[in-house]
Amino acid sequence: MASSVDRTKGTYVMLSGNHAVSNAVRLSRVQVVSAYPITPQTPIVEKISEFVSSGELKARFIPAESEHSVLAAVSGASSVGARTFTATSRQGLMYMEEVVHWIGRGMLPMVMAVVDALIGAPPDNWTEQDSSLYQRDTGWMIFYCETNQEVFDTIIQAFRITEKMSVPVMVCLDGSYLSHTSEPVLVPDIALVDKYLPGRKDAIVADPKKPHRLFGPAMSQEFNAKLRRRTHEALETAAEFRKTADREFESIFGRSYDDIECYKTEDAETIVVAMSTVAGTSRFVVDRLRESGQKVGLVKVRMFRPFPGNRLVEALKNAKKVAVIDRNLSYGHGGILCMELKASLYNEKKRPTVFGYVAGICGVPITPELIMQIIADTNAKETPEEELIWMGIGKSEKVKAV
Amino acid sequence: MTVVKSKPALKEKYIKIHAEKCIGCNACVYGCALKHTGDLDPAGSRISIVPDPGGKGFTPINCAQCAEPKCIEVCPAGALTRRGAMTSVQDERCIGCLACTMACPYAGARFDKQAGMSMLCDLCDGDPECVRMCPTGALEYEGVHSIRADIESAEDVWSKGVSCCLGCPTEIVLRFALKVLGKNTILHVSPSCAAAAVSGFGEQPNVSIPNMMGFLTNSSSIMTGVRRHYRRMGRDVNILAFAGDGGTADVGFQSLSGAAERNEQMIYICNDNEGYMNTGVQRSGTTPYGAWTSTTPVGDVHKGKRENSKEMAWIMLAHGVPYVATASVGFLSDLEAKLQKALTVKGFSYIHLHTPCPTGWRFGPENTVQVARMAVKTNYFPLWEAVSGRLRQTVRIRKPLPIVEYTKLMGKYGHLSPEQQAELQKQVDERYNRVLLAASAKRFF
Repeated sequence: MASSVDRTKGTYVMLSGNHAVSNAVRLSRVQVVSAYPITPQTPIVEKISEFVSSGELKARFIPAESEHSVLAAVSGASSVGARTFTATSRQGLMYMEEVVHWIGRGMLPMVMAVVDALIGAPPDNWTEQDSSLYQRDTGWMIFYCETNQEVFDTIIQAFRITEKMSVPVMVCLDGSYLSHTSEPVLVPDIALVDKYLPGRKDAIVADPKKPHRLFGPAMSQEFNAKLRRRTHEALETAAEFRKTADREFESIFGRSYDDIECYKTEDAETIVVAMSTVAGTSRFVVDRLRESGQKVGLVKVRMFRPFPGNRLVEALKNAKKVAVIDRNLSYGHGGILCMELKASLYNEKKRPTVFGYVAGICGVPITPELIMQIIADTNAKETPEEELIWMGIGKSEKVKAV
Repeated sequence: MTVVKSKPALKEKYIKIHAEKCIGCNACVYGCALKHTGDLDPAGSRISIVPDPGGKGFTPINCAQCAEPKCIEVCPAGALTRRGAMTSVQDERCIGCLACTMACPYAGARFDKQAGMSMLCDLCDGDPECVRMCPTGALEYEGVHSIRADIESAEDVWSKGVSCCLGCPTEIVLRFALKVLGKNTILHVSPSCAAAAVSGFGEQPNVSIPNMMGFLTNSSSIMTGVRRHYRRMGRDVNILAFAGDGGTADVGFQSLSGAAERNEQMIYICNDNEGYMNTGVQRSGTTPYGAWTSTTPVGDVHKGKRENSKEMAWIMLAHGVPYVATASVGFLSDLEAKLQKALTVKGFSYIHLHTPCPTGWRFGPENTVQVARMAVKTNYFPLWEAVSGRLRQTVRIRKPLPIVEYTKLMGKYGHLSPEQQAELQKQVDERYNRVLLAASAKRFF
């Protein structure tokens, strides 16, 4: 333990990913929460409503009639200066879509936890990241978390970033693998969180004492275009501020997180690129393979929007091969992280060969064996035979023309 | 509820008469005559005392400063004018024809034989002599709520000149409603004609209260968030969600129903122009039977809308919210009273506002109010309110006119066959009977 930081100001509690979110929301003293039940997110808001009922969290809880209304209600509360939070999953996020875009483009401060699970049809709730990655063009900042502690800390950091930079933040955690798995989480003293989160100081909120218009229609093309550019640049500025927010976080809580995390990449010839819990399993595999002398490393992508392209280029420049593991799929193209990474690498003179694996969709387990198989596959081939390599997913009957 | 204190109303003062206290001493009469003529001759008094039939008591009679003065209507010389809430005689114009004294239903206009002119109570410039003289308190000078005074004196938060079509009722009702609700109001207008008009074109907004335009589907949800945060901060603001009929009865119905079920503190106004007018006159859930719209065109096979309109006010009544009312742009004082009531209600208020659209319904822009009134006079759009489920008619039509008097006013019904006309009449009658039935019940919902 670092001597300058008193990390004992808190208690280790066994928390599921969902309850880690709820507790982070409680400690952040969120003021307005709205929610609608959807598996696997529901325990987050159940816990929050318990906190509100018991008085541990002095917030207004709006049990709206649909996700669309949920996000609209928190957008309303955010427009008048409240610290707001909501959580959702899969179809719920799809139903919110209109409002997600609105909030991103309108730059309303708020934090949303997204518990990743598949989008129907069929209506199951196994883990995959399609629904949250689908939000990449909405103007939100998007984080993927590896552990429940990271979930907890990212929620608190997210409030700091969103309120300082007026950029909405989405914190994603894998359904089941994090949401319903308990891990020890260091829950800090609320006084420390108070110190970290000073509160909103927006110049423009809807207040009769100081009237403003929010979101008026019929602006000129040029004005709207300027706003669009501003939204994009705000994301980049927010990414800059994220570093400051992280330094502040480290000075108070003693933990730190980066946009991307490089693990044993210095001399690595093959690097695995992964997000969320897949990164955790990959870390374990890298350690095992290192023991047997293989030069393997891991790059974990934590912040997906704004996309840390330059950082990734820098981290991967000395590798020969890169294996991207996507627990998601853009139908008709391939894994989304892989696509984005390739785009970032394209203009580099010296760039590694990228292998794109789609694995673990619909909650199929991504085991250490599967990741070893992926690395073996990458090492065995000179170049990928196909742009999309299925891994651990069986082939079904070929579709015939009707 | 502290909403009332934020009301911009100016209280107009009147002489209130408590006839039961009057002892017939005539002190007021002499006081008035003395003050106005310098003489004690009762003929010069503006107030008079009339013994009740049967000799049981007395009634002081004075100009009632009524809202629709018959005296002004009948005056051939234009000598009577009304400023604010006060009717007065311009001496230099009066020809002494006595028409006003005959027309006044309250016998409040009197004739000064000496001067040969009509005379009306002038309230003695705010210090009525009669009230000072009255020994029993039968006359009282006190503030009476006056819509005219309120609206004239209230600050107009909307810019002069807006981008609505000529004759648009939305401008009238929204400008009016915002005057009633005052500056401590946050306004949400869902995408509709009204949104562009409220918000303004370009970077300058058209209204000087906080306003936003959010989702077509979701006015009431956004305002839930706004309201809850203000409540949390311990601040009272008036919340007005203003949406069109599409944003209310169709795509926005789910969120409206949710907010009503949660009984959120807000006023929701449905600006019902019976169609999607902002996108160019398409049918909505409230478009009436038989009506032409661009998606219910008149052809050889089908002529206008084949389905009935959705009765939103009744649906909201069934939610059990504390206040539901129908209102019309043709009856603004009725709307004003309803808005005032909605302000005092604890919980969700729903006002279904009938706003005939000259552009979409195909009638001249000068006829908006006429069409709106005819909708009420034919019982096509009955005006009522329900406080805690108890329904009451606020405007009752003694001799309702047949629906054809309404349909003939506009082009959207121009094609109606006698059968369609009869069908519409049948529906109007059925729906009106339901209002009567509900009004006669002690508690309907």
